[in-house]
Amino acid sequence: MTETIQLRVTTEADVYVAAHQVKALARQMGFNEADQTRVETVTSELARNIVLYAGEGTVKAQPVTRGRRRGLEIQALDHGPGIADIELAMKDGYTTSGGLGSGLGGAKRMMDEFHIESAPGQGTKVTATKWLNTQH
Amino acid sequence: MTEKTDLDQYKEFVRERLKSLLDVVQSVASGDFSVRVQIPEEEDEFTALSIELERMIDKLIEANKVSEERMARLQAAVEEKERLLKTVGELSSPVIQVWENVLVMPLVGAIDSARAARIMEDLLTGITKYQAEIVIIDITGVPVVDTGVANHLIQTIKAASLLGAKCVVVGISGEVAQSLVSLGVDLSGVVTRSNLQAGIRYAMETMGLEVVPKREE
Repeated sequence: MTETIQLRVTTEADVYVAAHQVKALARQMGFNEADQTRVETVTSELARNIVLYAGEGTVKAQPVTRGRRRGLEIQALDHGPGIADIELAMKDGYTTSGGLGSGLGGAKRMMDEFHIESAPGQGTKVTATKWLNTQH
Repeated sequence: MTEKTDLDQYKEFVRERLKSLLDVVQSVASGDFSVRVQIPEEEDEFTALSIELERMIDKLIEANKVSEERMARLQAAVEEKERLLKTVGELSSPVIQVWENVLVMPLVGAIDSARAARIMEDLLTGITKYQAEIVIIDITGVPVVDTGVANHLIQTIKAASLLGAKCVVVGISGEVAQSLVSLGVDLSGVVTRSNLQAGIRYAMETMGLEVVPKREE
């Protein structure tokens, strides 16, 4: 089972489609209900950021393995304005759009791994991974 | 001399026949299918060409009719879909009075900016109409609550409180609660209850009401 989701995101409707599909993939992979909701919410946050700041971009999700671990990797890619200060953008309460300003930091807390590559004018690439807890 | 005159006559004849055909082709090209081809009495290549042209126009008329019908059907389907969407929009944020001054607003489905604006408008209209003191917002049917959705909710609650109505949010699932905590969404100023029943109980208590078993006479 190597299902990969790749979606172009330009509208709010796309945000929900992406979140819904990534959740379905997480369920297929055997994530529990709470983790399904986490990856769904994170996908929603990242996709919403694309629509909000870049206007358009891509959301990808795919199963990944590292050693014995299996997980779900979500990638959000856009060629928008980029983030000047990533550390600041991750801070709760910091926003440039009048939102709640805890989306990125919150998304990081909900995932096991979280990387942002971005520079002003260079677009943004966020990669987030949630590992399956097989020991429970 | 006579030979030349014959040639001139023939040229004139060809020019006229071509002109009449050209007129027809030009009309058809500009979308006017009402012109008819004059089928000459002579039996020559021009006549054959005229007959073929006539057949071609008939086929074009037929094809045009089919595509017009198809367009009409598509148009009707689009209109039907728009009507449905409007109905869904109206159904999606109903405001129900469950008790005097107590409203319930069950939310089902994804909340985008357009819906959030509509929800707020419907709720504020409902509050004024029913002079509501307490509004129970049930989000059991909302699939994803991210910071965007939470923000919309908080804005709606703030607007309602400006009209003097207190909001109670019910139906936050365990999973959504965990996500909200991780996202750092601050709902500390918002009254929440686990489900609609608890929300209604809260409303009753706030209004100084009590539901008690009926006493035997």
